[in-house]
Amino acid sequence: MSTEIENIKTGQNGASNGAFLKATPAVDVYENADEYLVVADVPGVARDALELEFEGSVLRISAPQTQGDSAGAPMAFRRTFEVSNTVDPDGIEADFEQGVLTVRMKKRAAAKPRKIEVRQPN
Amino acid sequence: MLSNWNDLNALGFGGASHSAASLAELHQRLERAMRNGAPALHHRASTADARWMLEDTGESLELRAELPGFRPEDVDISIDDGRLVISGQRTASVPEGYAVLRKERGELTIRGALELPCPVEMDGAEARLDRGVLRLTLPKAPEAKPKRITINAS
Repeated sequence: MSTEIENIKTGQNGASNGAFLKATPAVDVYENADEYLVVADVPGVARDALELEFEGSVLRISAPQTQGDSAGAPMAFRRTFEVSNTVDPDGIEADFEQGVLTVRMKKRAAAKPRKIEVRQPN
Repeated sequence: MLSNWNDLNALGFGGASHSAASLAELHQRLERAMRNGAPALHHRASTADARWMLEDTGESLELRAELPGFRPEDVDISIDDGRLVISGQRTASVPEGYAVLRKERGELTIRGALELPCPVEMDGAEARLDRGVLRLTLPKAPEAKPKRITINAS
């Protein structure tokens, strides 16, 4: 199990290095002006087994226990991302659908790009 | 994630590899893999191929495939004359209005055809897609089910 902290903005290794060879979930990270979107493939993992933690500026996605011991059961995994301090810890939401986990992390107001109006001369 | 996956490509499930081996040979390899509980062969295909395995539970054949993000309508399964054909695809789309910072989730496809190792009862066939995992259950025809043989005491 990897405990390495990855930077959210690096490691754009593309589809050629996805989760299935490593048995860790493949993760996409997207950004717009308002939020970060972290999307992870976690097929077969039960909602209850998924753990999401945000501490400081680090997001951790994990499924700590192996679920059942039969062949084909999901394995334990952990992925950890450094997200910088622009995320509002109170503005994090997660959805889990069709084996895909989507975490929405709102940016702090100060981190959003602000549009500054140039005033017309009077 | 799933462990102990059987490399069905090596068993002739993959598009490219299944032409080389004879049917008898495929059956032999399949049986051998099943007897061994199937962890021996590892999937070496590109990450664009979904992982799956076929298991013989005695009463039925069970196929499991990791298909995160697939909806039921994204997968086609057919069985015709003892041949199982499966195909499906998930695109690697970027949500609109977002910039990509990291992209590991690629396009994911499942595609293959396999001669089933024994006759199955089509009426009892069942497929479920739950939490991104496809489970296809094919009950064996009565003549293909294992039979318990009682040993008579002398």
